[in-house]
This record gives sequence, C-alpha cells and structure tokens, in this order.
Amino acid sequence: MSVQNTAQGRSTRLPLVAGGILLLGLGIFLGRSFETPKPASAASRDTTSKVARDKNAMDQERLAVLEQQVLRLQADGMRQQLPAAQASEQAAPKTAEVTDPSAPKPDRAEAARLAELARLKFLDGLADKVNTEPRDPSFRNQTEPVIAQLLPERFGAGVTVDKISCASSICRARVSHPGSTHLSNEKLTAFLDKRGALASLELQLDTREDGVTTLYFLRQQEPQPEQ
Amino acid sequence: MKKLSSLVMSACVAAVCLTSGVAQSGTTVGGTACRERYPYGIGLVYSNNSVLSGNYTQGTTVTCPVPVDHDLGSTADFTVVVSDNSTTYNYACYGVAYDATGVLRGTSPTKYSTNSNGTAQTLSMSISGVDPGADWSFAVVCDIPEYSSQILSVRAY
Repeated sequence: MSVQNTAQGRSTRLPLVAGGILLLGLGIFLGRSFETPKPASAASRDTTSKVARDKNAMDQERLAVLEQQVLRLQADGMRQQLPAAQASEQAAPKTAEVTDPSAPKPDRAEAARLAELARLKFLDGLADKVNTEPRDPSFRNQTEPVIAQLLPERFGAGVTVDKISCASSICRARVSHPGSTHLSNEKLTAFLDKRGALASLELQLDTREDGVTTLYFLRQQEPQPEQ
Repeated sequence: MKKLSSLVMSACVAAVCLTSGVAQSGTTVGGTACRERYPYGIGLVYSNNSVLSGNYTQGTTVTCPVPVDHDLGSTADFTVVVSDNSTTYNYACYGVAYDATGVLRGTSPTKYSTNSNGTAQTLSMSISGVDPGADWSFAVVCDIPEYSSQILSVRAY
C-alpha cells in the first residue's frame, strides 16, 4: 500500500517538476531576449561617438562658412541696391542686424544724385543718336511735319517750337517757354490727349534747362513680357 | 552626406532668395485705383476691384496711379487688363513717369484695345530711361469706351 502510494506520488510529481523546469527555461530565454543589447566594448562606443562628433563639427563649420557667405551676399546686394534698401525705413534696423556695422550707410541724396546723372547720360545718348544716326527719309517725312504742326497747336500761346530733327529711330524738338521753368502739365496733357500720329512713339522730356524743354520721340519695339 | 546636401540646399535656397529679392518685381493695382481726370460725375462705377464706364460715357479719361516703392530698373513696363464692350470706340492707354518734383519725364506710346466683346485683353507698354532708384512716380492714363467697359488691373514692373 505504501509502496503503491509512493509510486503514485512520484508519477504525479514528475510532470510538475518537468513543467517547472520548462517554465524556468522559458523565463531565462525571455529575460535574455528582452535585455538591452550592450555595445561590444567601450572602445568601439568611443570610436562611434567620435566619428559622429567629427561629422557634426564639420557640418557646423560648413554651416558657419555658408552663413558668412550668405551674409556677405546680402550685404553686397544691399550696397548695390542702395535706393531699394532705403525704400522702407522700417527695414533699416532689421538689415542693420545682419550686415556689417562698418558697411557704408545708404545715402538718399547720393542715390538721387547718381540717378539724376544716369538720367542725364541717357538724355545725352538720345541727343547723340539724333546727331549721328543715319536719316530715314520716310520716317522723317512722315514725322517732322506732324511735330511742327501739333506741338504749337497743343501748347498754345507763349510757347515756340523749333529745331525739329528726325533720324531713323528718333526725333527731337526744342520747345521754348520763357514764361515758366517747365512746360505746364496742362499744356502737356493737352498734347498727350491728342497727339495723333505721334501716339505711336515714346516720349522723353529733357527738362534740365530752365524755360526750355527738349522733346524726344522714340520709335519703340514691343515690350518684353514679364518673366 | 544627406545632412551636407540639405545644408547646401538650404544655403542655395537662401542665396536664391537674396538674389531674386532684388527689387525687380512689380506692383499691381485694381481698376478701382483709377480716377476720372475731369470728374464731371458722369457715371463711372467702381465695383469688384474694377472701374466700369457707363453706357454713354465714351471718351472719359482716367488716371490709374501705380504706387511703386522699389527700383523698376532702367525701363518701366506697364500692363493694363481691360475689357472693351464698345463696338465704336477702343481703349487708348499710355504710361506716364513723373520725377520726384512732379515734372513729366516720359510717356509710353499709346496702346489700343482691339476687342469689342468684353473679353479681357492685356495692353502692354513701356518707358525707357527710368533712373535706377529714382523716386519717380508712375501711372497709366486711359480713355475708356462706353457700355460698361472695365479696367480690371494695372501693373507696373
């Protein structure tokens, strides 16, 4: 009886022990698989981080160089576009933050003077063109009489028109108005509203001489579409 | 490598922004900016950002100032978008440039509309010899035909 009991007891305990061993094994396996992997060695960890640090440092250096180049470009652009930089007074303190403080300060008067010089150069160029360009008899015969007729008619009393001359792409007329420094807007408007065949020509006014306005009529090509 | 390329890209973008930021862009105003030159009160209508003529207001002249706060370069180009409903009259538009003291310095040739069916049409014109950076002011002057013809927009660039 006791032997039988003992045998029975063994047979019931054996699966329990085997189950326990299995559970233990499973626990060890799971424990290892969820464990955070460690670096192979401290030396390899240091090498990896050093490479990363070097790369980061190089990137930082390149970024710094690029930032300097951007700032230099910005400053150059502002110096070239002096009047544009002056356009907004509010923008001034903003730009001052990013530009070299030793950079020359935009000078509005100087910009205006340079602009006027450019304008005078342009007008001198027109005068040269009238004097040097080959004559186009057809253009001349069509245009000079119209100028000679229309200008005195539209400008009215107190204004004399002389020295009318046409080349091949440009005409010039000298308008004297001794009573006033400039041709009045009223007279000019009267002309512009009804300029007949002259409406197809661009008009440029040279007003540098008091009491005299030189009008240039330019043949023009079609304007280029905006890009 | 990827980092470097993104760096270069961002720098290039910045450089492009700087170079294209040079003030060469234009200014556009709606037709409501246009004002009758001799205001007889004959029935121009300002609506939906455009100016419309009345049925019997042919020959009305309007001036459309275009405020420009930047350098246009050596040439001022203009475009005017119009719709012409008149079979008898056309738009006649030209650009004008005044210096800082209000003295007329130049005008473009006059351009005319060719449609009469109300289809939007763009008239282009330009004035040369515009001083770089000069404090000039610009406007477009137009004769508007009748029958609710509209100026939709005016651009200087």
